[in-house]
Amino acid sequence: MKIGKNGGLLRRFQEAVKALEIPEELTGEPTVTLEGSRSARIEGHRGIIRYEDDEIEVAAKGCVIRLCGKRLRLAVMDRDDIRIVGSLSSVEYARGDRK
Amino acid sequence: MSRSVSDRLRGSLKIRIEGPGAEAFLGKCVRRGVVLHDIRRVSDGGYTAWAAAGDYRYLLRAGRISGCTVRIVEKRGVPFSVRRLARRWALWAGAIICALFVVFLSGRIWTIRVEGCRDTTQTEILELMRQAGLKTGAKRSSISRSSVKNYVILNCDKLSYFTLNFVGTNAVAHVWEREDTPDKLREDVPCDVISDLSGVVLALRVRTGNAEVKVGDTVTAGTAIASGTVVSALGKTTLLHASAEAVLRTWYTVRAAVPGEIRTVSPTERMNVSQSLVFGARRIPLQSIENVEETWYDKNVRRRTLRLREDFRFPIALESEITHPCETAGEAVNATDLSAALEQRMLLRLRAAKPDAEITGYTFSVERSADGAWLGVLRAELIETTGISVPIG
Repeated sequence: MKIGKNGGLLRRFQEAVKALEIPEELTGEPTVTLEGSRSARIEGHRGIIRYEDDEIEVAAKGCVIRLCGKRLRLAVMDRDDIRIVGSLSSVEYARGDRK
Repeated sequence: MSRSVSDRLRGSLKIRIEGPGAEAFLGKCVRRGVVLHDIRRVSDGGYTAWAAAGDYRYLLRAGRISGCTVRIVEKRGVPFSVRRLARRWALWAGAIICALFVVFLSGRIWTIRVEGCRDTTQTEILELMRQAGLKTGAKRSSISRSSVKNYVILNCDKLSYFTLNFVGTNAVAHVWEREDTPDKLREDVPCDVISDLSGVVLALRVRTGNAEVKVGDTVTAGTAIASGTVVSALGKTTLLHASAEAVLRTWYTVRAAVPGEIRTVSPTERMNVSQSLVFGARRIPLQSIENVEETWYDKNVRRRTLRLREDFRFPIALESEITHPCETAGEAVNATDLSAALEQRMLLRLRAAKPDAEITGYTFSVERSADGAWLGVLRAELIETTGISVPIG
């Protein structure tokens, strides 16, 4: 299938999701929930790319989520959720899916 | 809290992951459904994490696939504790024996208490209950409360009612003693009314029959107050059930004697403590018994039992007997103090002897006898009511 058609199908799918007001969690989109600057919860992840004390990179559908801060650690990690605790300073989205 | 409790029950492992593919290892684990907690970075490429003990095989497989080494650093939880303790068979045997012991003990009666005794003695009631099958150490399920109750009531004339309850390993018995009441004559039985006291008539109330005394007369015990024999004007004699009562002024004397010399008892600084273990009705002394003759001593007994609840006590008690030996010395009696104390005591005796009477006045005197004793005499004036029905003939 041509990339163009795939891109068109994807765009139409996204438009349909938006029109029907379907929750994004059900469509596989990642969800980041911040609790102040102490804790972050990522739903719909696809694994850890990098884990440092001051930076954690998490793979998600269509993007890479980078969390920066101090004394970061993974509190809980299961199939769908990751909970990161520490002193968060920034959350970045980088386009591009890492599998 | 609930997660930590479930982790403890299922068992959890702290693993150390080392290798270049540690991040991939984490991803593989979670994709297989393994939940990792408290993932911490410890060195370049190394992590520690907590996982459920049941997921260990997945962890090893994920480690092999991602090229990491997985080592167990710490184990926590009930399965590991049980495995460590499983080899200690003596511990398990002791726990089972203790549990059986507690079950055995809790099914038996270890304490029997009797309440409500006045004229009867606790010893008497306990002996009757023992004959009926209720004694210390008896199996509670084999004792029939109704049969014990019936046996005690039938074999003790002094009781009017008896109850028995089991509270845990305690048996609590309550007695109600019989009170003697005079037989009441039937209304159709002809009778006279006589006095059972001696005194002067202050008031007379005759409901049926003829009055035999009047106000101001002196009567003695047995004197008729009212007669049930009525003779009509025609000479016909009729026998009635006389009903009357009289209020009398009576006199009552109380006498008491007290020795001329009293001995005072004063405690010394010495103190002896002896302890014993009480198991049901058995007493096991915890130290060698010394037979030291002490004429005068004060004794305090303290009993401590282990109680889980209000109605459940272990049948073992530690009893401490603290004895304070005393010294005695003779002292002359202070006449003033003795007089006051004796007067109070004799008034109490008077009120106990005549509970229904009204005391209108009294005189009290104390004198010394030839042998040195003190004699107290209390003469009281009372107002009492009398009237006893006696069948005619």
